[in-house]
Amino acid sequence: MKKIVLSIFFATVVYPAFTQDVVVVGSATAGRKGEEMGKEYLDMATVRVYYYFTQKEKANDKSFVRHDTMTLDIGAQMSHYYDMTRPKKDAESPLNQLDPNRIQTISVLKGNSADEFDNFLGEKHEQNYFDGTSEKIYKNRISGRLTLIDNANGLYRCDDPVGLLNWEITSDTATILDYSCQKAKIRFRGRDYEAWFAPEIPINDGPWKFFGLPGLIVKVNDAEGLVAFECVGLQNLDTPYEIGIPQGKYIQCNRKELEKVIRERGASMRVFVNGGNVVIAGKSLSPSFKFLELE
Amino acid sequence: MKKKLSVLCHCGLDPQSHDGRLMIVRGLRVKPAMTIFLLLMFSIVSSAQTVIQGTVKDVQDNKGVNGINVMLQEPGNSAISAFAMTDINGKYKLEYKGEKDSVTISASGFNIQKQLKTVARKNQTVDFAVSFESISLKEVKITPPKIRQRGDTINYLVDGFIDKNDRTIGDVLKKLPGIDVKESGQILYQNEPINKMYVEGLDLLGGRYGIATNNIQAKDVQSVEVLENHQPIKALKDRVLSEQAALNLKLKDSAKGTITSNGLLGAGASPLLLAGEITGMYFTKGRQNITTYKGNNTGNDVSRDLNSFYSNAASQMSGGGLLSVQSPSSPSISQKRYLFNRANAFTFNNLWKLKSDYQLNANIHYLNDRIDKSSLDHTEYYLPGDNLVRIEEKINSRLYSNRADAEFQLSGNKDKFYLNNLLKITGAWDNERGNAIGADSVRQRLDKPNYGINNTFNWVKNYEKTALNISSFNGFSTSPHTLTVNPVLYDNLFEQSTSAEAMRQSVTLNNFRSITTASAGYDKGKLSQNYALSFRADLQHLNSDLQGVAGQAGNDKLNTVPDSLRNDLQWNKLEWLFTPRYTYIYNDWRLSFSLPFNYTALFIDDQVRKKEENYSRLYFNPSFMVQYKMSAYWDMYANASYSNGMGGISNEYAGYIMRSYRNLMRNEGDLYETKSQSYSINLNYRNPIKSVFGNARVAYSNSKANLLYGYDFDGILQVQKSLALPNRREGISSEFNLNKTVDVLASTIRLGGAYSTSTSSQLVQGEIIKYGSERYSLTPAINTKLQSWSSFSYSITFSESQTRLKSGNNDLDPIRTVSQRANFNLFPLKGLTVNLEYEYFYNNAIASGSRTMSFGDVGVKYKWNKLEFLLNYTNIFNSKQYISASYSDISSYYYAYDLRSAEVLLSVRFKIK
Repeated sequence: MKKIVLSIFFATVVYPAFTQDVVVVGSATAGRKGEEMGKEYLDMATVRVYYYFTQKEKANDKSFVRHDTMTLDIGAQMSHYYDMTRPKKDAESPLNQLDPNRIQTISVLKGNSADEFDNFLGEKHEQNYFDGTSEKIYKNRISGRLTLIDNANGLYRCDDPVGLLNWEITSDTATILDYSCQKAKIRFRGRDYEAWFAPEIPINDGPWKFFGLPGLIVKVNDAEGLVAFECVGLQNLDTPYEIGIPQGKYIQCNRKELEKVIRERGASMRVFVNGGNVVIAGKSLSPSFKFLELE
Repeated sequence: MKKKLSVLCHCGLDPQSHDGRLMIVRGLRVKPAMTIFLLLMFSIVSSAQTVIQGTVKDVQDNKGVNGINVMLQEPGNSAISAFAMTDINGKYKLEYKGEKDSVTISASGFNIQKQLKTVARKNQTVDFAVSFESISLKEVKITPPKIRQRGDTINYLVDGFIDKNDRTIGDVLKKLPGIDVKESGQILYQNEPINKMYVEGLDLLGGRYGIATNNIQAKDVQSVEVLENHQPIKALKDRVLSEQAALNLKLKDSAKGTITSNGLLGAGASPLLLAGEITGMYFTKGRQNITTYKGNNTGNDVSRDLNSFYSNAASQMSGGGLLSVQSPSSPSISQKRYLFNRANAFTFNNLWKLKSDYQLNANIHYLNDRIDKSSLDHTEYYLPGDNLVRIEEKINSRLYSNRADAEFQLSGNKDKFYLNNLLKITGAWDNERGNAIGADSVRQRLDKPNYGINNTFNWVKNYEKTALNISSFNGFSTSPHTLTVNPVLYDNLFEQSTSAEAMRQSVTLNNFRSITTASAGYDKGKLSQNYALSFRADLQHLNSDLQGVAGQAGNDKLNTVPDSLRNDLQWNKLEWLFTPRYTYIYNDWRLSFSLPFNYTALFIDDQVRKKEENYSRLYFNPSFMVQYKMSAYWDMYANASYSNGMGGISNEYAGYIMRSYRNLMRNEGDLYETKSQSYSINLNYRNPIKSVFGNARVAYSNSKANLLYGYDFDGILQVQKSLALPNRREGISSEFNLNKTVDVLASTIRLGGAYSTSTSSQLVQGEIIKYGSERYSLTPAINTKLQSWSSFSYSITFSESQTRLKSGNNDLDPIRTVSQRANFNLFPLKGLTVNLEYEYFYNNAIASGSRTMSFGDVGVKYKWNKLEFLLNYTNIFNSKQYISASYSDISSYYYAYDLRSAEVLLSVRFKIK
């Protein structure tokens, strides 16, 4: 039965070569090219901080739905928060491995169709979008304006004027990574967070969209125990590192639109190559998955 | 705090508060000259408020510095009581609610020297003049960053995860953090498929490891090891990064050295349907084995499981299938509807571990099948002068297939090099019988054995800047085929043998092929280069004769075979190739060139006609590709290529070969050469924000050949001929697709369309017929997710095709078809899946009876304890035939293919031992 379902479903979506998805191929390539092109200069970073980010679906889950080591490059006014291993992952994206001369047909299946293709013949490749985020955040600490860049099957640019954050500091202190830290609280876009900052490190920056405490934020977790950012490394950059937005052809959108695009991209993409026939099947996000920003 | 602020705002006492930095600061704008009402109101909270404000200036230019942290601490307490950041003018305001007599105010910031001032607790102004200092942090205190856990091994003890419902290791793997197991047995780690599945450190099954996960018992496994970032080729370790992980199952001592097995049984009607599967396995330290059997007569193609996932060089051997029994072409519907099989497939997989890093695999497959086909065929060939050849016959055929192949693979996986050698031996003992009942009743019997041996060698050696890759394929195959046709149809070929009862065509094709390629690549900046040197040898020998035979078994040869019905042909092709490939990426452009030079030498020795020919050609077959991203929404892709080609041995034999009972073919002796060009351009639009996607493609191709092929008809029999007449085939094809997602309906709507036209010519009865054909189609479709427990998809395709004969001024009636497909999935309960399918076809060229066909299927799957039940009810409308009509070249083809009737099959999957 499954095979029938499969072949019928397949038959309905096979289009001749280069139909729907050269879009994808093209844009994935373009995304990679962006890295090599010029940059819109913003600042020079002299300090680099590494954060380990984890997100669970339920508080008592053993495993994480997302976990990654993120890098924060900090300059005098601007900072850049990104996944350092992403360019490598993008370059190794299955779509970038395809030889366009070999392709005869490409079929794209959306939704949870990837599972239907377990028995499909041919080479299989998979790209997991949430193994490291493709989002990069450029943060202006003075103005509270963020620029988000995301390569979600295309280059997106989105301005997020988050403003100055209304932290409430508490008198709780703790020693984290040998730095004495103090706790602050905030409700930010639908979640309550506790942040620990180190006044000894006089940088009012932090992971993701957080900033604005009188010291580097070394740890953040939400009240429900689902989301955590933890500083795991701190480094002076002897050679200053440029912070700049890669030039490219961006789709300008707002935060909600970008979130919708990422939701539609799903959790991962699986590519099956059988001779010249390529099937690209998506895997949806779990219905219970929630983004960091709930509102 | 917030409450207080809002009161203040309402009173209009703090008109500037909107640009205030922080709430804490804002609250401090209360001035001493407050109304009594306000003083009373805030006496409790603000009695102890102290406001400290000031400016932070740069000591050098005396200008305010923006973004400086100003903090207030109580003496002897490291905690910060209040803080503010300076605004654009360097100003700050702090509020202190404590009651200490003095406080410490400090200013610090990125690249700012920290300053401290201790002041008395009173409302006052405290200014800072700060100097710059590059920031330097103490790194030592911090754990070194761990970007990825490369090469780490994570160990899970299985006993901690097992519970009583778990039957197989697959059930347990599902529960391990980060591991996901698909129904087929495929394993994902962190949502990436694993790249190797080892049992006791050895890879027995290759990509077919689902057999292991679905059959190895959970209680037999000691631990599961996850090897992250596993690069299976050691020579490429740290060079080619792997994002994939591998799994290793460690068995308990008690599980080693015993045999375990699983099975499936199914039965149904009608006719009597049977399906069975059994799997057994055995593991010891130096040896592993998994053996499977699958058999059915339910239309389920078991040979599919024997196909390799990898397209390897073995497919480059010519199969030698020159002869065929007249049999209907397969309908374009699901194979399960028309496959009348009786199949048994057996696989044996064994692995021996040799000394360090070497292993030997033996994989042996055997397939035994009987496939029946029957149909009513109706073919019309259009001849010059509005003549027509019409063939109407009832065709049936039965193929007995016996195929065995054995693969032996030795692989060595060392740090500096990788070696893999695969030896493959194949044997096929197929024979096919067919009857074509039309004006004559023609019986055919084809014996088509094929024996082959081939070897594939791969070697990777690791150097500093590049990795050298050498691969070599060598193979030999022989296929002695015999087609016997009864009665004698080509009387005039057998002059002296009026007593002949049958015609017998024997063809033996031997083929030796060797391909060796060495390649290395090099990347520098925007340009990447790859160079490959190859040598190919393709040596073929064709021996054939066609004769009249008599006697019960058709063994009595009646005469010596005339030369015109005989071939003894040696055909050797040697090619030397040098292929540079360049890819250049510049801004939004990506250019690729492939510039292969090919020197081909061809030697043809026709022993029968005592004719030797040598040809040598230097070919340049360039191709060029450009990709350009015009904007965030539009991009384009264009492609141009030019290539030269020459015909194979089947374009060279000059003695007649009866390829099927209707078709007698010989070549006139010239070398068949082609030159082709193709161009295409693709345009894509995507607007993900609006969820609209679209694309369009136009392609043009033309191909010039020096020979024109065609047929001479003698009644319904055809003799294929070729004529040294340069000719050309041209075609344009175009298509578009549009996609829109409608969130409100949770649906995706699609519209696709295609149009193609081509012109060509063919030789018929010695005359050249030029013909053109046109085809278009339109497909609207929708995919909907109705609820979380169901999904629905539907598509409908309209198409029309037409052939025009230019010389006869004869337009053939267009053929219009409509096909519809609907699929409905339900997941009403946990463990229960229901699937409904509907297909509909319409063809206006169906002359008699109904022009429509409908098919329906129902499938139910239910999991209960350790058993899994599957119930399939296929072809519920009991449609007997698939009827189709189509044009091809200058013929039209109509057929009614007999299908499997309505059938019910119930199967259960279970564990034996």
